[in-house]
Amino acid sequence: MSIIPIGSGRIRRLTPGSAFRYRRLPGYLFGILLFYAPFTLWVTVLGKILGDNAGANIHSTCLRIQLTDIFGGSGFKVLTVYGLSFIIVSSVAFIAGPMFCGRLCPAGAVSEYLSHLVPDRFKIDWTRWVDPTGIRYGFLIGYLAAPFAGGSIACALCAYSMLERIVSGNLWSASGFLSSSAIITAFLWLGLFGLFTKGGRGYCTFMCPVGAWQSALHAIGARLPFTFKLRYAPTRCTNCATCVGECPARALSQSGDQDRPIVYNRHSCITCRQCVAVCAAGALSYGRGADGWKAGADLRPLAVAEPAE
Amino acid sequence: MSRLAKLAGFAVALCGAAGSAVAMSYYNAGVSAGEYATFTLELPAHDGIAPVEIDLGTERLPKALFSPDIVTFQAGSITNKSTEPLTVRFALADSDLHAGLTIDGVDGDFNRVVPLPPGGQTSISVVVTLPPSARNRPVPLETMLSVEDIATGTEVASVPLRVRR
Repeated sequence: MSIIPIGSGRIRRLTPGSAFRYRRLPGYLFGILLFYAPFTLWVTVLGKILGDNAGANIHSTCLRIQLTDIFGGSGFKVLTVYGLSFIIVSSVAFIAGPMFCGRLCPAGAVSEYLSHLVPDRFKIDWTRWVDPTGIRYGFLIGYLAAPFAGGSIACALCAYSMLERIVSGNLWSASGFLSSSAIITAFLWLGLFGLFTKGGRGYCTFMCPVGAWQSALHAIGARLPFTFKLRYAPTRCTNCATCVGECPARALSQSGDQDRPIVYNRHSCITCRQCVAVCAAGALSYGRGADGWKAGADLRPLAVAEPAE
Repeated sequence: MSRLAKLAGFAVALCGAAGSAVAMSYYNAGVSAGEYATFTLELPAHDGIAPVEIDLGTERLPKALFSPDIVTFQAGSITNKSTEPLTVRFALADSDLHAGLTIDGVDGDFNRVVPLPPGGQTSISVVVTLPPSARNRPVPLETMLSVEDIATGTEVASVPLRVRR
């Protein structure tokens, strides 16, 4: 952060990373208005259009429950708040990446923003020790298998609903109740995978089946030329690794290869575009066409971003 | 790292995470059985209803550490089996208890009335904080949940609720 002396005072100029984090914040607040009790604007409007008397809480748009219903054979009704929400989020993920995760989901944002309270030296970079992709999809597989084993864990490990209980005041009301599963969820979401994880999105990376579902769709969709994706121009990259440090999902890392210094794990990416915002060289951009991450998939010369200020 | 090593790492992570999620499903099933009592109710219920019991000895460690004195009784479905519509209100026999009520997943209170047409259903959770004076007794809580039809002023069900150690 630079300090610019002006007159007798000083003003602090935000870094590009901090500035972009502030710019993302209204999106997450909007997510609360759209999906969370007592607001649920999305449910109210969509319910009126469809004639669906869906309940005014997050369970009416809960994608976790939808995933369990679809893969558990409980059926799927398209023209309901449930069904349309699932189709829209899935379609957006296929075409543009997990935008719900990166720009709307308040639960992930809470842990990400909270993590900035703790200095980096106290945080764990889990990607140094484990394969995040295996864990992400493994948890999704286990989540879908759970109803056939001990029972559904749709609500058991849900940070999304726990945040609603905080926002609506239920958690400390007379009817607030914390089961052991909820306590474990809070500890993992906010504690171990939030405050003490680099990037703050450990819960999103390792324990969110909705994020994993969107990542799987994005991994397929990004292969198509007309879909939106994170793109890389290695000829512009200076290997400063600012993007690596700023990525909340730890989807970027350094490769040690002079020709392609940065490696991208699309399966972990939440499409928040924090990396694009902080890239001073303009090597990272978000758009359609070739993505530039592998040899032979280079970007056209003009398809690069303006450097961050 | 060789491709084989990467693949092995991926497979281990995949299986480990899937196994953890399945294990959590069994843990959560145990939590459901031991930390809150669930029951169903058909109205009117004039025959004796078996007590709905919570055994605090089956609490899992996280709850026992952080939230030991809050117990939940959940009626997943309360159904009006009569041919007449009912308008019901819930009440606990011991009005001094610190208790909260959710109706159909939404925070409510014991003044709220719920219309139930014939065949209609609702669900409630009664969350009770055990009084400090009772926490160490063998039976810290014994009360009744009554369901009253406010149209006629009659009690249509009375459910014994009990917590024991």
